[in-house]
Amino acid sequence: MILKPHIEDLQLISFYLGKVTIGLALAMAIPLVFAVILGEFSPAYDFLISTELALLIGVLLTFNKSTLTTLSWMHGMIVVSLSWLLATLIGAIPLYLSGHWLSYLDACFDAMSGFATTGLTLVTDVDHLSYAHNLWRHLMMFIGGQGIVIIAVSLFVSGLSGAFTMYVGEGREEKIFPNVAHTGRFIWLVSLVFLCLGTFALTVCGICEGMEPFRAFFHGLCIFMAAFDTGGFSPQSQNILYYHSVAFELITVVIMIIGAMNFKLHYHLWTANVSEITKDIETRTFFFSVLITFFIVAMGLVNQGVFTKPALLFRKGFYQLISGHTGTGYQTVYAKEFVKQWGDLASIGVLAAMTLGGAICSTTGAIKMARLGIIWKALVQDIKRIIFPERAIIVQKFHHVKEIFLEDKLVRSALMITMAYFLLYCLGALIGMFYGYGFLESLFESVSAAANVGLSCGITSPNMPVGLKLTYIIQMWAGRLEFMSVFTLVGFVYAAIRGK
Amino acid sequence: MLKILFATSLLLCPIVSSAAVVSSQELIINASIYDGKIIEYEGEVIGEVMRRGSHSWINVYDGNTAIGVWVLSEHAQKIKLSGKYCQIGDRIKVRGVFNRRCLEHGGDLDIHAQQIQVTELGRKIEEEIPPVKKKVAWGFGIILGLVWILHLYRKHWNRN
Repeated sequence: MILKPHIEDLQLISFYLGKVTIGLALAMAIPLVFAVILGEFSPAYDFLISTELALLIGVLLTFNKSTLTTLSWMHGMIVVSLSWLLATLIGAIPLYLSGHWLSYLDACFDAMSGFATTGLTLVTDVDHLSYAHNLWRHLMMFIGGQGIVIIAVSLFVSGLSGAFTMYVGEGREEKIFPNVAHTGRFIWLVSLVFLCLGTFALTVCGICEGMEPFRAFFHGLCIFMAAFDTGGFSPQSQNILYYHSVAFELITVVIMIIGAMNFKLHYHLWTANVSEITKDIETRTFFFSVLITFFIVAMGLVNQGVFTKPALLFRKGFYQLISGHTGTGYQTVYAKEFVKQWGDLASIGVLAAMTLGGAICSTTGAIKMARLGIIWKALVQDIKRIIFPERAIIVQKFHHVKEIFLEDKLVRSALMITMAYFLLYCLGALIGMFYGYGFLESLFESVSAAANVGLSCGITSPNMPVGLKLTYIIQMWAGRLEFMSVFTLVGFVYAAIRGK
Repeated sequence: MLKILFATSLLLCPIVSSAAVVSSQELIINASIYDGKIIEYEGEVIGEVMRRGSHSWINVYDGNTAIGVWVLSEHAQKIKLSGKYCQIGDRIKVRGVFNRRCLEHGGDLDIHAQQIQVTELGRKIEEEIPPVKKKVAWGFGIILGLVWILHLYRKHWNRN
């Protein structure tokens, strides 16, 4: 028998949703202050209205509960999945008020794309967008990359025993410290230190490449936030092509790779335990998958005669590959070039990299390196079982922070998530084809949305069908949260309707 | 021989000088057709002029996509305003060589300008705040204040 949720369940969920919404309102105050300082008063009003509305919703949601009750797994998962939807609806308000998005749905698309660190965008005339709105677009990526709920939890709540459920709900499985709030704060510390270093490097590079100092700083800040959180938004419509700078491209490659690293490995890096990085299954898998997919991309580009010189092949091919593999989506080629000039083989190489993603407990989306490594180890183990005598005991181990024995439970979990991702990729591709787009184009864009990458082959535009916009929004949401919290929400709604 | 050369150059001259303005989409989609050819491209200068020694980079937006134009810095001085928030950049017509994969610039799709001409001066736009935005902001502010007071009162009442 399915039990109908109680009113207390709803009150508890609403209380935490309220806390997250208040946190979001505070975040929106940053572009508000920025707009006032720069004298952008119309955008300031956009953010004032949005902040007020977010605070109002937040206060109303927390109205019915004033004590902290331990969250169950179900509550935590539902809080996470609903928080991301609510954040999208609220985060889209200032975007829509700017007039640069044709509809509220388009603004919601970009808000979800920002929070989920995807990078697909429906903005029009971004080159004339205000600094404040641009800051908000990139700030959404910075917030979403660390995890909307975990930020609220680490800021507003201390010693909450149910916080781990929300941490897992946001697609993270590993804690750096026993306490989730401490883990959240460490993730913030790492991110803020890299923010300072990365922004400084990009600002200096921008000034050297002929940009005005303030614009170099602003672009440096925005590009860092989007690259570190493997997002892919950019303040200019040309994306990274705007800068025409090899140094800028190199710095963003480094930032993208750092962003795709497990925060646990960052911890080891901070504690000068460098050997941990080379031993880890994720680093090794990432190295080999980059090598293999780059080989495919290079073969495709050379075959097509697109880039035959090694320097060009590396600058364009490798950049797009790393951008796709880390799930960033920065482009140094135009979207249409992918389809029209790169050819099928190179596109498939990038597509394969996009499906894989970076490390668990990083800011990337997609299947992720640890799962790929586990599946590979399981395959090797099975092959050994066939080859070796029946009496032989086959033990497979891998290193991830510590030595771990490969168990069936781990393999099953990795395979399940991988299968769910592939289903999501295929579903989006089918819907794309239903709207009349070609197979490869549909698959490319679908993977880009579901794996939170943001590379586009040209389908994503304000003129694309509403059904496809909704599909990509759902894909970005489910892909970022790694399904579990989304499935729990579906179950909860079902129980609310059919339960007794 | 000289007559033939003269006649050929006379024939070619109008072709070069009357190259039609090509859109960014046309250049990107049919890049191989225009590769290495002299083209004319028109649009608004966006962002800023990025000076790199004797040459500068400008990005020119034709309403659809922006393309990078590599131009002599002395020519770039003609550009007074570039497009950003509340500012429409100078509209320029570029005449130059289109590169599908520029070997000089790391394989970028770009235009090496031979000459640029400002066809329309840019302008600053007065920022307008719609009155409805002000009213909504005030309205939400008042409601929020009332709800907040009620919230605090309720907390106080619950505690007692």
